[in-house]
Amino acid sequence: MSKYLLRRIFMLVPVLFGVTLIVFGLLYITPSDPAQMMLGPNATPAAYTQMKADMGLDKPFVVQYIRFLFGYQHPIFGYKGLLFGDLGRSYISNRNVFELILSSFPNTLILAAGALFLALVIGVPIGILSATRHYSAWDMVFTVFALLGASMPVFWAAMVLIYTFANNLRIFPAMSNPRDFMSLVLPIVTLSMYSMAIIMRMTRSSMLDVMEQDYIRTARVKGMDEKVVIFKHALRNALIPVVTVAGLQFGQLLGGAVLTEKIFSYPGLGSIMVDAIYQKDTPQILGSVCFIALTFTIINLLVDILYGFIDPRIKSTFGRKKAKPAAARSRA
Amino acid sequence: MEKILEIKDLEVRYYSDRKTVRAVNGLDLDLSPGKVLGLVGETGAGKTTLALSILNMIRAPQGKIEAGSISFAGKDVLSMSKHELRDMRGKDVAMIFQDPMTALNPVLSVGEQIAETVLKHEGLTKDQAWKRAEEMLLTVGIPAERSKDYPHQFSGGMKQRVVIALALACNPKLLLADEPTTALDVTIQAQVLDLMRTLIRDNGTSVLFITHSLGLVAENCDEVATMYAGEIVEYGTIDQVFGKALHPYTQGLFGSLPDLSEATKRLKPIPGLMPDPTALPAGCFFEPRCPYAMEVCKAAHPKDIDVGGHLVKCHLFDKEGGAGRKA
Repeated sequence: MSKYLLRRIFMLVPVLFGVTLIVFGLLYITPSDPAQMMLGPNATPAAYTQMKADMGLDKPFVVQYIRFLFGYQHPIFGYKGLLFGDLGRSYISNRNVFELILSSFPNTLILAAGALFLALVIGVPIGILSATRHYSAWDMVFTVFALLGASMPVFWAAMVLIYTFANNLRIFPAMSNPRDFMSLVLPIVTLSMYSMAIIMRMTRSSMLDVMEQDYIRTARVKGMDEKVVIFKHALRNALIPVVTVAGLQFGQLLGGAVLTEKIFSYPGLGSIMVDAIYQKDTPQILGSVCFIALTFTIINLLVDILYGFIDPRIKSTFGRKKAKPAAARSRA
Repeated sequence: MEKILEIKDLEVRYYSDRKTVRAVNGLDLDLSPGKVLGLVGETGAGKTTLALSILNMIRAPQGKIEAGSISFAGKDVLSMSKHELRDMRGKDVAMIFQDPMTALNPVLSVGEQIAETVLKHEGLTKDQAWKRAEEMLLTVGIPAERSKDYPHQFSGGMKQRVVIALALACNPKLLLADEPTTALDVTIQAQVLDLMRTLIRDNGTSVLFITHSLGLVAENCDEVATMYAGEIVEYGTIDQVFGKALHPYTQGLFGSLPDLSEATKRLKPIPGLMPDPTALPAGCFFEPRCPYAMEVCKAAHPKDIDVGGHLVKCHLFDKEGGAGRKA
């Protein structure tokens, strides 16, 4: 198990390296000019050239990328490099990039965790209900809701919620901040809708599949109560794909709360990232994206570890040279 | 002697959008306590449907028991409440499935799967139930310490032993063994059958032994019933049927076995296929494939005819209709 963990953590390195290279490359080819931004429209060509050199933007891509990883010596624009956890200061706010990320990330985490919790607590039971009574009226109703939840654009749903609950009914505030629980309700509901729909559908189809398996028939032949059959024998087998989806959703919620945070003026990582992109604040963009990539991969790792607790067949592959959860899950 | 199992005129249908599958058609079957009845027939003859009907486990809404009665130890299975059914399943009537690879729950340890049955039916404490599960595993030749292992850690033969331990854990009065050895390789088949024989003899369990192997029937059973297109076409003791098979279909089954005593060059397969269960013939279901088919076979469905305690559903033995030929 610990060997498996070490190997998995080791495998994160190339993934994160690839992410930084792509993000850095994309920003490099984007037609943005931080030096011009810093100096304003009336700068002399000499000052502009000097600024570019100071910021290290006159060097070729490879040099810039290596500096990004290993650091850059400069009294104003210098930093220790990504590998040493330092990307310097934001061009705009002049605050340390990672400090800003670390101060706003918990806010995003509250939203994402709340949304995932809501999605699981509502999505999984409804999925089970739909599966055990499939093609019933309830199943149809929930299917329609899931379709709505999955296809409603976040910005639209958020505005409808604000209009109804903040503007007309005045139950929840339209602006949100992490210290006021009531103000968190609307963004969490908005954010959870899509995930809830996906988790509901995944639970339903996975349960339907499992309920047809021979071992469910065995459990019934043994005289087990239908509740035991569903919750003890079927649910655990049906959870693997649900956990996978929930993990992916959590990663997306962390990185994709951008719209929701913006609409509810919520001080999270998404808001910061959007501001940084508008202002061509390269260090802040790079830092935020790398940070989100890191959390995404860590969540995936946690999900893989969670598999082992749900399915003993996967746990036993942890010890081996090659982990093959997919192969182990195909009907033995 | 009172019968442990009595099935009368059983009709089971499966419904899909347009078609109706007539899986079991007016089937009669009796089983005496302590006897082993072999149920032989091709794939699709309705053998598994019959076994599931006995447990009243035909899945609605597609499947439905339309007519007939099934009584187990004098009680009507089809009118039992859900609660009574659950008490009967696993306790009085147990079932062994064809494929041990998929019959066990992959996320529960084998001990747990046996113990929960015992816990449900025997009113024991959790520790006692686990102890019973370990004892059962020992009886089928699996060390007690492996009770915490999961199904994927066992081989196919071992898994079928676990399934047998599971089925026999509550000393059922009736065991439905649905092709228990089909999925196993031949050497393991012998071991598993030996084991079943011993346990069945020791407990006096009645068995409905479903198979498509006449060899296994000869070795293991007291009585034989041949099933074809959802009905029993021939029924008798081992001696009666193996001594002289009456129904042309049973004869056909014997004809498709190699005979070591004669220098048969080729096996004789039964020509044709089983009739489409959504469109069964009006007369005898076997008539289209039967080498002895007569006019009456097309027109009228044969009834059971008693030839000295040996039942056969065939016009050949009908006093009025079967005068033309001796069996």
